[in-house]
Amino acid sequence: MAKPRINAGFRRETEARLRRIARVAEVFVDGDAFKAFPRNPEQNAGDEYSVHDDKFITVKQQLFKLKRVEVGDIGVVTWRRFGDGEADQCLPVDNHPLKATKGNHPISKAMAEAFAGGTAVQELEWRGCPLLSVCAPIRDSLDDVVGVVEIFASLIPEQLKVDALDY
Amino acid sequence: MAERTPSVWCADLLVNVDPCAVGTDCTVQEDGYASGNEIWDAKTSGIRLAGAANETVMFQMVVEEGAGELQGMSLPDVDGVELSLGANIPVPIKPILTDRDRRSEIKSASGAQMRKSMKGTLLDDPIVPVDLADCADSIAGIVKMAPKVPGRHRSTYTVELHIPKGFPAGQKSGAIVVTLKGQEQRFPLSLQVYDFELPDRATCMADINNYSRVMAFPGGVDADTDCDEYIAVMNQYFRLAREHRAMFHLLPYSHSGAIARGYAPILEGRGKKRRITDWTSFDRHWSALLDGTAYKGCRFGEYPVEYLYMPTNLNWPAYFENYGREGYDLEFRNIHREMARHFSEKGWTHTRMEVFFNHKVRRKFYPWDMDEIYYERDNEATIKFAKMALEAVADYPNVKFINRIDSSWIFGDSARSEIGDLVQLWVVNRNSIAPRPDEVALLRNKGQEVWFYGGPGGLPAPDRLDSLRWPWLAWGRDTDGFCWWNGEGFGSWDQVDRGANHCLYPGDRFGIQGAVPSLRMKVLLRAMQEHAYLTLLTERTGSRQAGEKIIADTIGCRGREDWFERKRVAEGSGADIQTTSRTTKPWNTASRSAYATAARAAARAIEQV
Repeated sequence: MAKPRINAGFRRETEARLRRIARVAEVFVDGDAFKAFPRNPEQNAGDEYSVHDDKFITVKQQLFKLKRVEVGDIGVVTWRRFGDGEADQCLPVDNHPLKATKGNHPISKAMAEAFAGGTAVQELEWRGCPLLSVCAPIRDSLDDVVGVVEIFASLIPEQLKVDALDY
Repeated sequence: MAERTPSVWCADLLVNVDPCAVGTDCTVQEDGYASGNEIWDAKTSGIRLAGAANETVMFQMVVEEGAGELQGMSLPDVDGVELSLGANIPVPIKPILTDRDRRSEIKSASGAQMRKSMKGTLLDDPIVPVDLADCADSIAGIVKMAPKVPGRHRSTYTVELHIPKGFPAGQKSGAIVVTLKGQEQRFPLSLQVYDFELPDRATCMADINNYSRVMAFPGGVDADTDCDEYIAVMNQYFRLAREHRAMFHLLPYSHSGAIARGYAPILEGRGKKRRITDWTSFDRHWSALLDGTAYKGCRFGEYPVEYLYMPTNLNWPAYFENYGREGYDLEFRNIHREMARHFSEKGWTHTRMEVFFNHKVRRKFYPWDMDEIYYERDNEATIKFAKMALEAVADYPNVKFINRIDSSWIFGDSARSEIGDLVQLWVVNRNSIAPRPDEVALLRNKGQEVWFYGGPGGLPAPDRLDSLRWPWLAWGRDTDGFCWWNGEGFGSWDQVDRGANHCLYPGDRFGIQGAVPSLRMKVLLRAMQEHAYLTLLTERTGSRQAGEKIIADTIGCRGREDWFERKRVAEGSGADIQTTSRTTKPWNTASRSAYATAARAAARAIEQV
C-alpha cells in the first residue's frame, strides 16, 4: 500500500504547535506530584497497581488542560523510567500507538533526549496514519527530570484523529 | 470390534462432535455414541425430543464423509412446528502456548480431562443459518465461504424445532426427511409436547457483554458508527441475543473515556453552560431498542431492551479536568437530569439505564478501580458517583436509572458497605460470588439485583456442560441472572479463543448483516428454557421446594447452599482468580444426563401441579 502523502506545510505547522504545547507542559506539569503518584514505583501493572489519587489527579488534570492550549488535534501521554532502559507509559490521557497496556516499552531516541533534559521530535505511525510527536522533560522542584511528557498529533487528521475525547 | 459409525446420525446438543477425528472416535463420550444416545437410536433411525409450547428443541445431525452433501430437510408430518437448520462450522482454536493458557484451559474445560482426539485445533462452534427453501445451494455457498478444514471427516448441523405458542400437548409422531445424493431418507421423530407453555420473557437475565465497536463493519475500528447501515448491523446483534433468550450488551466507551460516534448525545459548553445540544444521533442509535421496534418479529418478544449502558464515565459528561471542583459535579448532575428528562419524554421507561464506571487504575487513565475494585479505599469514588447519579435523576422516577458495579476481589466487604444501598445491579465474578451466599441474599433482600459473570464455556471440552450450567447456577444460587464475558471476544474466524470469551461470530464472511450464533449460544437457549421450567414450577407451587427436591434427586445439590462454596478464598490473581472449575460440588460433577433428567422431571412436575 502506498504511503500516505504528508503536506509539508501542515507538518511544519504541526511541529511548531506541538513544540509550543510541549513547552507549556514542561513548565506546568507538576514533577513532584508526577514522581510520587505510584504507591509502589517498582510496579507498573497488575491488579495490585495503585496510585495516590490526589497526586494522580493533579497531574492528570494538568495534562487534560494541555489539550486546550491551542486548537487542533493532539494526544497527551507521559512516561517514567522503568527497569533497565525501558519506560512505563504511566499517565495517558489518550491512546497512543504503544497503547496504555500492561508492561513497559523501550525508550525511543526522542524520549531519551527528553529524559536527558532536551526536547525532541519523533515520527510515529498508527493504523497506517503518520503521527508527529514531541517529547519534553517533566521536572520536579529540585530541577531533576522525573519523566517525559509526549505531545502527539495526526499528520493526516482527516484520516485519523488522535484525540478521541473531543466531546 | 468397534461398531461402524452410521452414515447419518444424531447427537445431543451438548456433545462436542469432532469434525476431523476418524470413525467412532468422533466424540469423547461412551463408546458407540453414534449408534445410540439420549436422543437417537441408530437401529430405527429414530429421534426423541421433548419440549413445551414456545420452546425450541435442538439437536445435532451428523453427516459422515461419503454420505454426500445435505440437499434438503423437511418436517412434513408435524404441522405447526417450525423447522430450521444451521451448518456447524469448524474453526481453528487457539492452541495452548503458555502457562496462562493452560490455567485458562483448566477453567474453561471445567477440569474435565479431554481425550486425545478432542485436542484437535479445529472444532465446530459457529452456526450459519441454512435456507431450507434452497438447501443444497445454501449449504454449497456456506462451504465455499467457511474456513477450509483439512482432514475433515464429517459435517454437522444444528437442527431446531420450535414448538409454537398454543401448540397442543401430547406425543407427536412424524419424521424428519433428509435428502442426500438425491435420495430422501426418513428419520422417525417422536416429539413429546409438555402440557404447559414457556413465557416469552427470559426468567433470568442472560447478559452477553460487549465493548463499543465490536460489530464487524467495513472500516473496522475506524468504521462510521453513525451511519444507518452500522446501526442496522448493531440491531441485528441485539436481535440475535433475544432469539436465544439473552440480551446483547454494549459498553459504549473505552478505558480512556473515548466514546464511539453516535453512542452519546452531543454536548456543548463547560461548567454551568454545559448542556446537551443534539440528541439526533443518540436517538437514531438507540430508539429502536428502547421502544422495542428493533425486535419486531423476534420469536421471544418485541419489548424494549432490558438494560442499556449509559455513556457515563469519569470524563463524560463532566470534564475530569475539573474533578473535585464545583463545576464537575454540576456538569455531571445537569446532564444526567437532561438525559432522564429526554428518556421520560420519549417514553423510554422500561429499560434500566445503567450508570457504570469501567475504569481500572491498572489501565492508568484514571486514579481508581471502579470495576473489580481491589482496594477498599477505591469504594469511595463509587459511592460518590452512585449518590450523584441517583440524586440527579430523582425528578424522573418513571425513568429507571440504576447504578451498576462489577465486583470481584472485595465483593463480600463491598456488599456490606454503603455501596450495598446505592448500587442496584451487582455483577459479580462467578468465583468471587461462590463463597458469599449471605451477601447475595443480603443484596437481594434490599431489592438489588445480582448477576454473576464469567466465560461462556470451553470450546475444546468434550461436552458443553459448562455453558449449560449458567442458568442452572442462577436458579440454584437464587440470583437474577448472569453475564457472559463476552460476546465477540478477542478472537477471530482465523483463531478462536478457547472459550473464555467469544460466543458470537461476525456474519459478514457469509454475507450476513450481523452476527451468527455459536453452539454455546444454542446450549444457552436450551438452558434458559430449563431455567423457565424451574421458575414455572416455583411459581405454580409457591416455593422453590419442589425444584430443589428434583435437583437433589438428580444433580445432587441439596438446597441453595450447595450451589455455593462458603468460605473458599480467592487464589491467584486477575484472570486466574479462584476457579470453581475444580470444585467437587455436585453441580460441577453431575453428568449431562443428570441435568437432562432434572429438566424432564421439572417438566413433569409442572404438568402435575
